[in-house]
Amino acid sequence: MSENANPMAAGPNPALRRLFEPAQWGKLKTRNRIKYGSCCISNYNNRDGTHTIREFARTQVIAGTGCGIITNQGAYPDPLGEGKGYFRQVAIHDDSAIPGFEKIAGYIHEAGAIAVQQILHAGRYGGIDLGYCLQPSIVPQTLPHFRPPREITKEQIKVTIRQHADAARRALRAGFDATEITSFMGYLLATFNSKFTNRRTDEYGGSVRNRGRFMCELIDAIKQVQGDAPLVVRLNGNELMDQWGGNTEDECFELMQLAAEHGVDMISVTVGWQEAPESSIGRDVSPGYWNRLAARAKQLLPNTIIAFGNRLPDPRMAAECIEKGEFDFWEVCRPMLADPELVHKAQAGKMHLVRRCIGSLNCLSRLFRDLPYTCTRNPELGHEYDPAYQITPAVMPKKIMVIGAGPSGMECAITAKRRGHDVVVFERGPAIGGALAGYAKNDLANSDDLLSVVDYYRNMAEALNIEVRCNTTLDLKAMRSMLHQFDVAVIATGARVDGLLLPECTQPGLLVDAIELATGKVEAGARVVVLGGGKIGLTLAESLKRNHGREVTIVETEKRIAGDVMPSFKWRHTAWIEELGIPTHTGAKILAIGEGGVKFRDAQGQEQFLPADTVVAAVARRPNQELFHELEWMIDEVHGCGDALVPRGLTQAIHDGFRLGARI
Amino acid sequence: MASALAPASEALATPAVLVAQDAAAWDDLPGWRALLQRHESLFAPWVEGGAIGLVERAVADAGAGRMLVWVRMGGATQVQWRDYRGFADCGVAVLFVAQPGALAAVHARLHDNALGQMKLQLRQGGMLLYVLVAKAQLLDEGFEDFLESLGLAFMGACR
Repeated sequence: MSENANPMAAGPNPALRRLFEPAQWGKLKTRNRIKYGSCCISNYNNRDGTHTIREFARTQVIAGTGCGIITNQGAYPDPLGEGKGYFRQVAIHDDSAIPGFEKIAGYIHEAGAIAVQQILHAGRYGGIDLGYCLQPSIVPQTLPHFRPPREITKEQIKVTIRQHADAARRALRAGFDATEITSFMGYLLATFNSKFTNRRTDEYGGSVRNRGRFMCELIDAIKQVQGDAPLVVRLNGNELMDQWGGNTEDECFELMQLAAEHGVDMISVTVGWQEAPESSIGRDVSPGYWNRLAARAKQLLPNTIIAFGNRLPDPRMAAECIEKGEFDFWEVCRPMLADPELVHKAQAGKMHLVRRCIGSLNCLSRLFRDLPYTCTRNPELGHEYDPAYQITPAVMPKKIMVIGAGPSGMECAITAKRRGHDVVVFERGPAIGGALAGYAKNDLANSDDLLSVVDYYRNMAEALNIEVRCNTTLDLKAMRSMLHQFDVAVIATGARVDGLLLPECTQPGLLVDAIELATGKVEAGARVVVLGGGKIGLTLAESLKRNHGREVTIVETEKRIAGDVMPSFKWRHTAWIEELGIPTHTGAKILAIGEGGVKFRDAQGQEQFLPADTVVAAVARRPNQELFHELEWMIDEVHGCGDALVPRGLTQAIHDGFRLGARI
Repeated sequence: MASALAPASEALATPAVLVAQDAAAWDDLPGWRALLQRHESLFAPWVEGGAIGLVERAVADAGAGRMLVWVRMGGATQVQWRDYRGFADCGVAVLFVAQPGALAAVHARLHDNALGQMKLQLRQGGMLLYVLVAKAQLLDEGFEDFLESLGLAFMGACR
C-alpha cells in the first residue's frame, strides 16, 4: 500500500501554484520552478572517477523527483585530480566518460526535466589523492582534513580554464542541456573570488574586478563552446569569512554583477565557506534565515534568473518567496535526500507525509570521512540498487506486533505495512515517539525539526491505518492473553541508563533518570549535576541552563564531552557549553551520590564534592532486551531493532527499523 | 562579528584598558607555562621540538613580527618568543592568529578554563587557526589530542 493512496490527503495545494507553474529558461522550458541542486557529492563512484551501478540507480531516483531542472553532481575536470575534492567523485576530464554521462542525462530527460551538469574543481579542498591542493595564493588550510596549498601559475590558470571548457563540451555531447560552475565554500573559483585566499599581485588579484577575472574568463570560455546552451554559476551571497579577510557581502554582490555582465544564464545564490566560523545550513539556522541574500540578488539583477535554497527546506516558504519576487527557482537538494517524493507530495497536498530533512548533516559528516553519503531519515539513500532495500510485496503476509513506538519501531511498522503485512504497534507510553519525543523538546538547535520526526510517524501510522495501542505494557501476562495471535514480534523497546555504572544513591529522590527529566515526569532542583557528557547529558544540561535557569555542572568519565555526537554537530554542543558557562569535569570517576550532592575524583586525582538538588543519570545506556528471552517460546519469529539491540542514535534506529521491516 | 572579548565584565573597558590587557596577556610567559603544565597530558604526546605559534592579527597581516610559541623541549612544554616572517618556514605545525582582545579573553581564564575559552574564540572567530603541515604529520607528531580538545575534528566542518 502506498502512502500516496492516503484518503485523508488533500488535492493540489493552491498555495504552491507559483512553484509548480511552467517557466522559460532561455530557450528551454521547465515544467516547474524547482531546481534539484548539486548539494552533495555522493561518493558512490569508482576511485578513478568512473560511474558505478550504485550511482546510476541513485540518479534514476533523482530524475524522478519531479524537479523541472536537475543538476547532476559536480564532476572534476582535470586528469591529474587537482580538482578532485571527494574520495569517489566522478570525473569528466576524458571523452571516455561520455557514455556514463549520457546515461544520466538520459534518465533526467526521460523524467521530463532539464539536465544540468556541474563542473567542480575543488581548489582549496581538492587534490584529495595528491599531497597538495591548488589555490591562487599560498593561504594555509584552517581545517586539518585538507591538503597544503600550492600557488597556481598563470599557465595553469589557462590550462584549467581550457579543462573546464572541454568538460562543458563533453557534458553537452553527453546530452546535457546546460552546465554549471561553482564558487561555493572554498572551491577553486571561490578562492579566486575571495580576498581570504586570493592575495595575488598580478591581474588575477587585488580589486574585485581582478579577483573576478578568473571567473569571467571561465564564463567566456565555457559560453564559447556551449553556444546558446545555458550556463549557471553558483556564487556566495555571503562567505561568512569577512572577519578573517574574506569578501564583504557587498563584494559578493559586485562579483554577481560581474558574472551577469559576462552573460551567465542563472546565478545560484549560496552561503558560507566550509571553514566559516558560523553555521549556514545546520539545524541551528532557522529556515528562511538567508532568504534576504536571494532577494538582494534579484533586486540587483532583475534580468538574471536567480535560484536559491540554502536552509529553505519548505516548498510553501519557497512558493511564497517566488510570489514575492525574491528569486525565480527554488534550488533544493538535501530535503530531497531525506524524501525524494517531496515535490510530488507537496504538489498533491500531502506535506504532512513528507519525511523532513532535520539538518543532522549525517550526509556531510560521512563525506568528510571519505564515505558514501547516507541520510538519517532515508535509509534507502545509496541503496537504490540493492534488492535488500527494496520495498517488495510480502511473499506471505504476516501478523506482526511491534513493541515500542519509537523511531525504530515505527519505521519497521511502516515498512512492513507497506509490504502488505498486518501490523500492530504496542507502546508503553501515552504517545508515539519514544525517548526522541522527550529529548526533542530539549533540543536548543531547532526542536521543531526533531519533533517533525515524531509527527511524521504519527501521520504515516494514520495514513497507512496502522493500529498503535498506547499505554499498553507488554509483559508475560499480556502476551499469554494474545498467544498465537501474532506471527512475528519486533522488539523495539529502546534502552535505559545503565544504573550499574553508577554508585548506589544514598539519598532518595536525588538521582533521576535522564529520560524522566526529558519527558517532564520529574522536575530538576535549582542545582543540577548531570552525570554523562554525551548527547543526552549535553542536551539536558543545555536546556536546563538556558530554558529553565538552573545551575548545571557536567561530570563525564571520558576524556572529552560529546563523544557520541555526530561529527558535524559536535562543535555546536561544545560551543553551547562554553557560551552557557556550564562547568564540565572530564576524565572523572564518580565515587558517591547522596548527602546533598556528588563526590567524584577529577582527572588530576583530587576528590571533589558538587552540591546538588538533582543528579541526572545520563551515562551509557544498556538495551532493554528482557522480552527477547520471554517471548522466545511464545511466538514464531522474534526480532529486535534500534537501541534495543545496541544503543546508538536516531540514524541507526531508523535504518535498523527499515531494514528489518523490508525483510520480514 | 561575534565578540572576541568574551568576558562580559570587560565589555565596558576603555580601548586603552583593552590594549593593556592584551599586552599583558601576550607577555605573561610564566602564566602560559603554568597553564601548559596543568594540561600536560595534552602536550606530552608532542614530539621533541613540536611547536605551535600564536600571533596577533596585525602581525599575521604584516607577515612580520613576534610569535608566541608553545614548544615541546626536554620532556616539558616551554613558552618562548620567536620571530615571525610569514607562513612559510615559521617552524610551527599550527599557527593561531588572534583578533585584538582574543588572547586577553583566553588569558582571563588562565586559572579556570583557558583552553575552553580558546575553543570558544575559535568558534566565534576571535581566533583563526592555520594548519601548516599535512594532516599525517600532525598525527605523527602527536598533535591530535591537543587539536581535538579545541574542537577541531580531523575532518571538514561544513555546517
